[in-house]
Amino acid sequence: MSDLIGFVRRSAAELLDGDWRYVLWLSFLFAVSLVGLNAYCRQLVHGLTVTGMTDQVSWGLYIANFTFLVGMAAAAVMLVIPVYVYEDEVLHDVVILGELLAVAVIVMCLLFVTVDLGRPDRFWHMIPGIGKFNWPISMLSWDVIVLNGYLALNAYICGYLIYMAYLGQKPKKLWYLPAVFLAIFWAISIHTVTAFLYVGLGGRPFWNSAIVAPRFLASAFTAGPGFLILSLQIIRRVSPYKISDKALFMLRSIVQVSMVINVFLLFCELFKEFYTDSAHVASAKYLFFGLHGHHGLVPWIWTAMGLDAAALVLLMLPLSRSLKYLDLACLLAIAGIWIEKGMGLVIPAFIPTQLGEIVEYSPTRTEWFITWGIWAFGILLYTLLLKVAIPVLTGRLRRSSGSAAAETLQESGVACRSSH
Amino acid sequence: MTDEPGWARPAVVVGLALLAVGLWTGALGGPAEKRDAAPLDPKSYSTDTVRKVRKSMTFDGAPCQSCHEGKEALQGDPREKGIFHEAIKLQHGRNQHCFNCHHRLQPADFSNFDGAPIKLADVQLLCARCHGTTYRDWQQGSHGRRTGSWDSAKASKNTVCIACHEPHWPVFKPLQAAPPPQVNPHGGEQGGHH
Amino acid sequence: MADEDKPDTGPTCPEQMSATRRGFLGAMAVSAVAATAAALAPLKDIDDLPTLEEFLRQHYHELTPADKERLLERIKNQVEKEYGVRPNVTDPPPIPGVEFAYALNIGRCIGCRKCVYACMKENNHSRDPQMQYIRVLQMKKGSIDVETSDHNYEGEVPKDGFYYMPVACHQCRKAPCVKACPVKATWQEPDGIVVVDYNWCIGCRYCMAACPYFARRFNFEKPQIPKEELNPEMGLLSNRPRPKGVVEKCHWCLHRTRKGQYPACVEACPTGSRKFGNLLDPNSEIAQIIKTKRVYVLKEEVGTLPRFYYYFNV
Repeated sequence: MSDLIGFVRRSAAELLDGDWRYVLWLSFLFAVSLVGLNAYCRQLVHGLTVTGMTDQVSWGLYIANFTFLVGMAAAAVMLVIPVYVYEDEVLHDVVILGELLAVAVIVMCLLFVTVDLGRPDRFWHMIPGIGKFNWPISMLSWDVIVLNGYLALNAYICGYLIYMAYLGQKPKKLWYLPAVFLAIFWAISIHTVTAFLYVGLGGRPFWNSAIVAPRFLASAFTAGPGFLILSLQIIRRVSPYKISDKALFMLRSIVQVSMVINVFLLFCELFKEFYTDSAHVASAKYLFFGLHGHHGLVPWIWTAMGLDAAALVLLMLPLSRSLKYLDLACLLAIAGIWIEKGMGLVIPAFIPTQLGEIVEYSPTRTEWFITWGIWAFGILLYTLLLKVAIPVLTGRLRRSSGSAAAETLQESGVACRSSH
Repeated sequence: MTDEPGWARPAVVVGLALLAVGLWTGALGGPAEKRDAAPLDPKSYSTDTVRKVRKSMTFDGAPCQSCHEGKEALQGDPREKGIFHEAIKLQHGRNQHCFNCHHRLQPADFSNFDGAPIKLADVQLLCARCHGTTYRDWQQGSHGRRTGSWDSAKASKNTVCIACHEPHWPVFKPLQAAPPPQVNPHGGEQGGHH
Repeated sequence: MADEDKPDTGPTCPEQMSATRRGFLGAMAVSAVAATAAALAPLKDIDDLPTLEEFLRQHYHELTPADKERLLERIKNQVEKEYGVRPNVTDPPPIPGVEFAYALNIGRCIGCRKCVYACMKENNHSRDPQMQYIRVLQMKKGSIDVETSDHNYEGEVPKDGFYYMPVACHQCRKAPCVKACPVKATWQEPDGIVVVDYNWCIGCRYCMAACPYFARRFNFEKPQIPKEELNPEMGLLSNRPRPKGVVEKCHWCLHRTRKGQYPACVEACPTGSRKFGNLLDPNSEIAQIIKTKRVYVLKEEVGTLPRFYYYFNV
């Protein structure tokens, strides 16, 4: 127990100590989070009328971001499978970093859902046993279970492995391997369940298609590892943690394959919509070409198509074996997928409405502030998690650390250095 | 390489302080405008029938008997009898003859197939002479407006034919539509096409 | 990279930092706290915080009769305080042996929208933002494609070449909204009406995404009802003033229909196009219409089995 307290105290000290870049970075993220918090307070007071949502388009930016981020969280499993199933040593070191990302991203997902609720004070109505949980009929009830479960699972795995590393002990396989394998299935399930939220609605022909679930997974496994490629490079630049290029290129091959599948599935969807040309094509028409004089989303989706295509081409070329171009490809892919899976998936299903009406949607400033605030908070959380995890993984932050200074620290029971 | 620049930490303090001021004063977005709940136009929801049903047959306030004693059957076209009924315009399909409906001896009443009088209070029996299927539906409740109770065991009131249909000129005049919907919650019309 | 050169010896104790550095640490903390407080400042305007009793209130199905009495009393007090009128709030149970259905004669509907406004008046809808349950579609003759419909027609009706099709909640037998709701805040009652428990709804709007008929509405802000037009005859699950942040929809005026009356829209229709009653009673006009008229339902292929039928006269 005293070990645990020591760990917490030293982690806290670790969080508070960092150079000026760290302070600036945290302050910036904190400031953006506050702007988001402020906007949310206004939303609490006035209601969701501060957003651009209407009866006709009743889900918007929040759910779009939620959908995109659930995919990112699921992508952490893309590292887990090679490491634990195929016992790949190359990616071994980065698995925890990926799972920590999953933790931060799931928190962002939960925040996005919370800010979208009309009555967040009634969240407890969803707790099984205390509230009234419409499980297994409602897909949202499944989503509540899988998202919170995934958070708990990843938090447990990371917590256990990091704490064991801190103690200098070898983690016991029984305590974490079952959880890891469970997490593999669970990661697929969080995104499949989220897809099923949309797929099961017969009144929305744009969503009512079996291809939505596979597309979700394909785009998630493109954007998620892409984000990891970028994050890992930043981590190895600002911290002593060593990440080999081999790990990055392993991730690259995952992004490559997933992007190809994503584009192929997109093509399948486009064919089905536009070749059939039934009345159900209206939403797809609105998205890609505009409908009855309304074309608010047309520039967005074609930008996304361009970004996706550019990313695909770059990824397939040997050019992307150079990190500079790989980074560019990842950025393009993430941006393209954010658009097509976020705004490009959620909004068109509401236009035209079930009764053929067209009311367009554009997010208000308040919605953007809250969105940026949640993103900033998520990145802040990830930064803080890494700030503790990396010293543990490099061996500096150990109960019995290697250096003399640290030993002195441990003997005197203080958390910090007594001299510069 | 990364010597801390002197402006770093002061910038953080000043930045956060400015943010505090900005947030406090609502510079980043203030409260929404207050809404006004205007009452509805009563014409929009009035349940009045399109026509007022007269209580008794009169002409210019006078009962029919004041001119027509009822001793002999009326003949001819009443619209050609001077100033009394010439203003009546009749376009009721093929029913162009006044005495198809009106009783020749008792002009305050209408006439049935066999010449028996039908009182104004039972005017639906007159209409039923030709519009049998409609009358069947009306009795049953599926034609015209019914008020009261949906429970067939309880009393409900069918609206009489002439509360909606003008017997001399049954073609309906158009009504003024109540205002179109506004988008909830931002107001205004959107998506109107065609 | 620079950090790889320096020996990594762990964090510095605050007591050992230079005075300026400590000062800055303190100043940053203070400004962070001030900024956080400023961020939370809008909350001082909040005026509809739930009381503890409201926060802990159970689902409609878990309420005891005593709970219900207290709840009705509470609502009466709240409405009186806000609108100056003491309402009669009841919770009429479904009548046994009754299954409601609705039929609309699109051969007769002229699109005058009286039903829309009668509903607004009867059910205490917000005027601004405008809440309307019924949406009248002006459809091109010869087509049933709602995409060609016009919702915003004005002027004199009926217009040549068009027919009119009002749509509101169909109280579906296999309602997608009931399936979708994660907290069972909406369900189908034994007499067929699909109701919403306004005290239980969390405002996630999944039901609105699920509905094939654009029947459900959301309170994006607090409803504004003019005091002088408040209808004091209220039902707990129907037309009592709703709070911000919950979903609502047509409920076939259950505070009226469960007492034997017609819904307000039926009584308002000047052409008698709207028909309502007990499907299980063979003498009712609704049973006769389903039996004898040419009847169809909207979007039958979605499989919702609506209780709302459209028919043509004769």
